Amino acid sequence: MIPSITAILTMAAPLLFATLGALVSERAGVLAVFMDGAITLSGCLAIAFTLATGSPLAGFAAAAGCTVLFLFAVALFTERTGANPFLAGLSVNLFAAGLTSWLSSSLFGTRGVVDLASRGVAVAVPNMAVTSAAFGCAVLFALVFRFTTFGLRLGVAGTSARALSVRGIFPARYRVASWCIAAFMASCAGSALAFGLGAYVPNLSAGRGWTALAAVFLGYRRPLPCVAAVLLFTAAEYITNILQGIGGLPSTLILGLPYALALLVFVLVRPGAGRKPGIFR
Amino acid sequence: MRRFLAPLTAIGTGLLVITVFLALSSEDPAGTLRQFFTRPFSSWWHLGNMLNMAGLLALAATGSAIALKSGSFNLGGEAQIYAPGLITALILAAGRGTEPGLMGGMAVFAGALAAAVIAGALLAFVPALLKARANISELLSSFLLSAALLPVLDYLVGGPLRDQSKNLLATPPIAAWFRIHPLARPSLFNVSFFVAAGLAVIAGVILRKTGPGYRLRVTGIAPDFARFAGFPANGIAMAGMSLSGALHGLTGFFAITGTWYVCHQGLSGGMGWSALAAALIARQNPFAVIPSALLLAWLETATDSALLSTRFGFDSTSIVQAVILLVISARALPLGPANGRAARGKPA
Amino acid sequence: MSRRVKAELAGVSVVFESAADGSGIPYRFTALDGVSLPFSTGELHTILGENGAGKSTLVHVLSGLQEPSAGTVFVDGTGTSFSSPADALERGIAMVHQRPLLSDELTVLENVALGSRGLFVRRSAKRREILELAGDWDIDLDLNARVRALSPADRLRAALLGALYAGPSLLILDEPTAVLAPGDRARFMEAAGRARDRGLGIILITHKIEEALRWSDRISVLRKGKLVHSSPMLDDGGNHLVDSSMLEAFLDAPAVGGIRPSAGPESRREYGDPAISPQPSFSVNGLSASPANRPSISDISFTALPGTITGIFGHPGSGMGTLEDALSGMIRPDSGTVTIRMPGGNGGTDRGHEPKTVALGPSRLNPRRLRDCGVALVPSNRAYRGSHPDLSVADFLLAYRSRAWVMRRDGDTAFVADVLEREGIPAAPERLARTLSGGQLQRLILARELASGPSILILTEPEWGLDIRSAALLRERLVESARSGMTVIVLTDTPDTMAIGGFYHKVLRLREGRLS
Repeated sequence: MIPSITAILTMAAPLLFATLGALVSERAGVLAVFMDGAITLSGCLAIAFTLATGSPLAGFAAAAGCTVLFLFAVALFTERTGANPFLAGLSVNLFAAGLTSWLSSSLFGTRGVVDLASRGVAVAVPNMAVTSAAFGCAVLFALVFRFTTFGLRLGVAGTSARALSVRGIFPARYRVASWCIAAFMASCAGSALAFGLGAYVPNLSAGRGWTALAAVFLGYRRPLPCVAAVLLFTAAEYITNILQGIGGLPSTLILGLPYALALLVFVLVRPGAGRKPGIFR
Repeated sequence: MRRFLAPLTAIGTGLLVITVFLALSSEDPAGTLRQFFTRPFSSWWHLGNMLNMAGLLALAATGSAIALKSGSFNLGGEAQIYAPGLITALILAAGRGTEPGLMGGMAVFAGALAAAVIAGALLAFVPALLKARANISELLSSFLLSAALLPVLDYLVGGPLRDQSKNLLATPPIAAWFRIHPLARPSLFNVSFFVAAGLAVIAGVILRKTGPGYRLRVTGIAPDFARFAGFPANGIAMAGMSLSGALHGLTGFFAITGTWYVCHQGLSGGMGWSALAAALIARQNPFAVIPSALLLAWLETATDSALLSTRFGFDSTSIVQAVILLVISARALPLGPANGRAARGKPA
Repeated sequence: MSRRVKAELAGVSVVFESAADGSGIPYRFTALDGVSLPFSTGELHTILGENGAGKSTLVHVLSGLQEPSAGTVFVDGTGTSFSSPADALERGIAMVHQRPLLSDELTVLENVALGSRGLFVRRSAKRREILELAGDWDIDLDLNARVRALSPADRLRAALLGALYAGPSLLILDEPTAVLAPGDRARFMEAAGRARDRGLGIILITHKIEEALRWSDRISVLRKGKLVHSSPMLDDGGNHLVDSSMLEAFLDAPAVGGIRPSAGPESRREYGDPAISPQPSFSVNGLSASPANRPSISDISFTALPGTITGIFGHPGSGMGTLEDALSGMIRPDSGTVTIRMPGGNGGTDRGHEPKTVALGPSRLNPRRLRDCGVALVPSNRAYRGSHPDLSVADFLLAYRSRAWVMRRDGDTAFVADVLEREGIPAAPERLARTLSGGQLQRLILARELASGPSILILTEPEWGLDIRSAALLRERLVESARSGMTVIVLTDTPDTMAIGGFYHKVLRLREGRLS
């Protein structure tokens, strides 16, 4: 029993990071469509930089820096040109897919799995530390939302942006900031996944970005209920893995589950009912 | 000239980015780039296939354009091409006994066409319904529905429905009788190109000159105004999405009957996204969809040709689509209805 | 008290120009024309003017929301250019809008805290400070209430607290008494007077002459963007420099047919056709609606006769918007019936020649059915319901001709050209609606509605934003329509503009969702 719980808690860390990032973004009024691509991209970069530098910490830091910079640029472009945020997010996902395949082929010579151990880099992942960090972030975010001016204004940027602009506060800055925070959290998730596996695999995120969005809405857009939602989804994933091992479910079908689940959550929770869809400002 | 700025910038940026990637991936960048620009036109085989692909894209892009005109984004194009394609391949599969007679054959052919169109329409109708009833963004639901369905279709094609007699991950081929023959061998270019072009023109005329077309356009631009004027705004939005899905289904039909003759895994292969990009570049104008699809087909064909001469392969299509979608979405459309609820004619 | 000039406008003009659209006709509108005015602390300065005279634009320039096209704004003697309202706030100028922009999701306290500096939101400290301010202004408000649930009057008070919290030297109030119940207005203005005594400079925007006369230390009058008068109320000897007839004269434009807005009572007058049927053509019974986050209406019942003009008056927040939406079928009422008696022969559609009565309950009440029954609707939201900024003139004029299969034939083109000519609007039909002025838009919308030959016409706030001349023209139009047998129903919250002796046959008042 205890090993199962520990396993679930450890498994939950990447999804929790991703969910918290999506939560910040959603509060600012931006649906974090780009999460999935950001996770995969940052995971790939983390492996690449770790192989280059030999240090997982440096790898994580460099990957996070690149991912945040990239999403910062896209966010700025979206704000300045009035682009459709959903399409922008989708293009990030598409670009991540293409870029990771290019990086993988050109740097590692393969479009398949890039294993750290066989290339001479040993990574010992302190699971407890990573998991604690994830839960710690959840608590931190809860405090920030309630007790800081930044958290207060972030929420207003999402619901009544004009209330900020007449006070001379630019909601656009908060939206761009939320993209960056989400990107950083995505890097945490991507690195956690990659180092946990000790390798980069194509489609590293496996739809977790979308599960994260579902968790945000299932958790009523509040940090602590989101943790509960994440644990729920992770438990489901754990059970699915066991079933798959037994041979019950074909692996191809499982690839579609995160999307189906997210759709189901959106239909049932109905975040849009009574107000404009969150994607449109 | 100003109205071409956005589309040209999008295509131009896409072109620039992908050529950079190609150059970086090749030992002979100049040679690769030469392949990029010349190969698609180097033989009738290349040109014909490019035009064929353009036709398919144009058909789906007309669908995307209609959805956009009616005020919705159809992001489920991939599954709306793939699933009807699979259905078509199943209905028209060979080896079902002896060859049918003329009338019987035509009935089956028409039946497959109808099934494909209806399947596509249904896949787009569901997100539209969710938007009308539960105010769930159709961008989200159409995307998620498609993304959830694609692995299922891949599983079916690679598993239970696979052609066991071959080593391909594809369904059995359709009967010879049902195949649309190429017009210009050795390429695959066939009559579907003209069907696509014709439908694009018809769509444009309907939107501009008819009552229903007017109501669709107005509902897309001003949904509150449309409701207030007594148009069935919800019904029109749903019709727009369904039509969009139907055209994607038709694309899947022609992909099977005119191009591949089998349903292989990943049939849609990014066509859904390219069609959306083409529609956006055409600024949702059905008349402009054909040149737009030609441009995009050229870009993708050129990239594929150049990839052959690089050191390694990579997912170039996604990169091109990503860049184009991002650039063209810049102030591409009014983002959904601008309700201005605060403004009852008064300043807020 | 000491007065000093805190801010000053010098030769400020604001011109709105729309980019040329497809028709190539750019559209210019001068909201302010070379206005120079000083604003001092310790003074209650009223800016008086008609709708559309430029009052709001003036204070928007002062508060940093609008950049002047020409002229300079001086603050504390230095020429300044505000980059945002926060900028103005830092220099000591705060504004309370007519429809305050608050975050509905947050509480009053949190809304006030939005603008504060500092990393942390110290709720208890802020609460004390705000309660003190509230006491000064005689405001009784629950700081923990979510703004969503507040009435318009309380929203105003919440916004006022937010503005005061910043400790401004100049406070701009945009028609504050419009949302206050009549009994509260005097209290509010007295509190404002006390703040003025403590040294605050108050700038009051209003279109009500009596209000201006009663409370001001200084009055300035705007007409069509120009400053036509500015002086203190009293001269050094304590004599009145301004009185009501002077102000009325300043506000007057060359009137059409000598009609002037007056505050007199509405009296009835028959429009003279004895053949008017005594049967009501439009009756509402027990209409109730309670949409989320909006005032509700309950048990609304009234009837209207053909050939008459019925007025329904209500203050903002009394449920006018809800009533409009319910009557036009844009929201679904909880209960009630709308019964329409279509006259024979010339109803909304060519549907037989027999008079017919149609009763529409909540599930059947929608704009399409109403129009089929011969009802025409002119909405309060001209910009987005009556038309749309991105639609071309032709597109929004042809809305009711879209039942045909083929459109944009000669008949349609002629119709559009005809309407444009009759309304005197120079435009290519492909011109976008956003380039038209409010008055032009209103005329086109009305023309379109009338062209469908309705027997019942329901208008909501039709006179809003129209200058005196256009309002008078509108009045004449409606009188004509009534004379020809149409049933006209007008919903408005500024009855004074239209109610010139005998305009309305029947007047009903909407108060807190109920009709009397």
